[in-house]
Amino acid sequence: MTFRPFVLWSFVAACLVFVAAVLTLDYLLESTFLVQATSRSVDIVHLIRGLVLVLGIIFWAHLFLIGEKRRTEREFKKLSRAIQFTGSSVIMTDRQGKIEYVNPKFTEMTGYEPFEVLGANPRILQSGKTPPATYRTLWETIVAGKDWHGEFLNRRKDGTLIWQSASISPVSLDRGKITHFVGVFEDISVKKQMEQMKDELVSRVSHDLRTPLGIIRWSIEDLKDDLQGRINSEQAEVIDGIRKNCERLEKVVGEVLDLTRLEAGKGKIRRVAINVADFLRERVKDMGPWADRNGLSLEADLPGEIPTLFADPEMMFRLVNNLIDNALRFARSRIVLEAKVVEGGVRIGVIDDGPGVAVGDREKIFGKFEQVFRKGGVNHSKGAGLGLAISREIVEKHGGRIWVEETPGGGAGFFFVMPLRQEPGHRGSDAPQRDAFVGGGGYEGFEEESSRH
Amino acid sequence: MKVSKKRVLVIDDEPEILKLVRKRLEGNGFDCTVADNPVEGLRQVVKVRPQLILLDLMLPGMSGFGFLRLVKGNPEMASIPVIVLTALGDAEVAREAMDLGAVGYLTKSCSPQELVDLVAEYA
Repeated sequence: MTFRPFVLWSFVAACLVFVAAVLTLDYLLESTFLVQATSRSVDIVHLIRGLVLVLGIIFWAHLFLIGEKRRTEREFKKLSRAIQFTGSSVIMTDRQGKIEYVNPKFTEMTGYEPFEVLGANPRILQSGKTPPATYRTLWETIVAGKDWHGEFLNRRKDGTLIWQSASISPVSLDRGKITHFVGVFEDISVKKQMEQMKDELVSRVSHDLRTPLGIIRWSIEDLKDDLQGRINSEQAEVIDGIRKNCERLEKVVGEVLDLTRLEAGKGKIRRVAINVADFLRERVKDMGPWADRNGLSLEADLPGEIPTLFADPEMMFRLVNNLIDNALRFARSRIVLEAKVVEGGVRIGVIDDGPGVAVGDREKIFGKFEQVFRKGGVNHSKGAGLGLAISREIVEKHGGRIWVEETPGGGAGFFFVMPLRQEPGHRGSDAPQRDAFVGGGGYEGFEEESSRH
Repeated sequence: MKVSKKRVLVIDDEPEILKLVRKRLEGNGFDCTVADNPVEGLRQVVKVRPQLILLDLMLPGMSGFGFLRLVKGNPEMASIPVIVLTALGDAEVAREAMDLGAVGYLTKSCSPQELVDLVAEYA
């Protein structure tokens, strides 16, 4: 806490007023009216002194509070002046998420004039295309006093969409308490367009690669199975090398296509009741032989009862297999699958006893084409490095979240939480504060605003 | 025509794939007819009366789905089992094909043996 001279001088001022008032009163009372002091007159003097003291305290508190308010206002003004002409769109909200300030760039970017949005919630910008989980993490991060960075697909006043990168920070204008939130937004539509073009290109090329790759592999199988005459062992070895790399290419292509399909929203979720324990035991049975082949043990740790999960079985299958596949490459001796009921859903973990993931890579590792260097990785079944990006896409599609942390033994624990109930993007009405940047797809704010003029 | 052999009709627009699949199936004792487009495919269905159809979903002129609808909509052909072969490893596409009456599906990343096994199961 910083020392603030205002507290001191206002207090000194109040004391001086008090002393001066008492002295004046005493002088007046004693010299003019009450020459002979009686017990009654002393009582009156005490009473008046008491009154003056109370008035003094009130006077001081008043001075203090006004000063405080002015100070916060002054800080707010200073801050808004500083951001008025930045090249980015800026929104400042109060703690509840009510907009208190927007800069001219905001108007330019979104089409909303300040008078249209002041007092409203930034929700009016939502296009409904950003997953609710994003808003949830955002809110959790900023109320915890940390900065949040991310991307939104927002909607302008005229209804057109705009991709924005956002950086939202809590601001304290009053003794360390969070008083405001400041969001700085950049228009990244062009960048997104380029990304989309790149994705489309990659997806098209991948798609076109599939058939020829299939043909190559089948031709290799023909050779291997001696359909084209007998081959000797050296030739067989060469052919095997070709086959392995062909399979690797097919895996890369498959991953790229899977991810683009998921991202394009084509992979619709088909929610089916899944018995988590049975599901994980089955994974152990299926993938066990793979682990065996690599000299690893794969087991399930399932204490207690786990409620039924409603999720897409094929996506869940791919998700857990991806995580196991990943663990197989790094584990030293053991991989454990676990499931646990936690707040907000069921947490499923795939834990290995490998070298773990460096702190700085724990977010990056879920990115697309991100090559995160991890010590001790085994090269078998290497794909495009998209397995974890696909996993994240699947989890987020289900309204859950995925992360990696260090396990007590130093290995990596990949965890994801799947919500128990299906979330239709509903905002909790019991938590008004959450409205700040939270809430799925609600256009209510937008409608409210447009009916105002 | 050898009566004892099961007849399989393969419809795919990739000549290479037709060649490879035909070799595999013939090597495993099937009688294989090929067609590189759905119209030719329909002609062959009438002509050779296959016991099973292997159908690529991405075809020129008419999609595999269109072909599937035609076959399943014709009482004389509806009983022929159809296995869908697709480059799209998309579960949804496969489900759609199954809804239309296909008995199974294979992606083009399957192994030759998986194909032979599935064909043997339904032919």
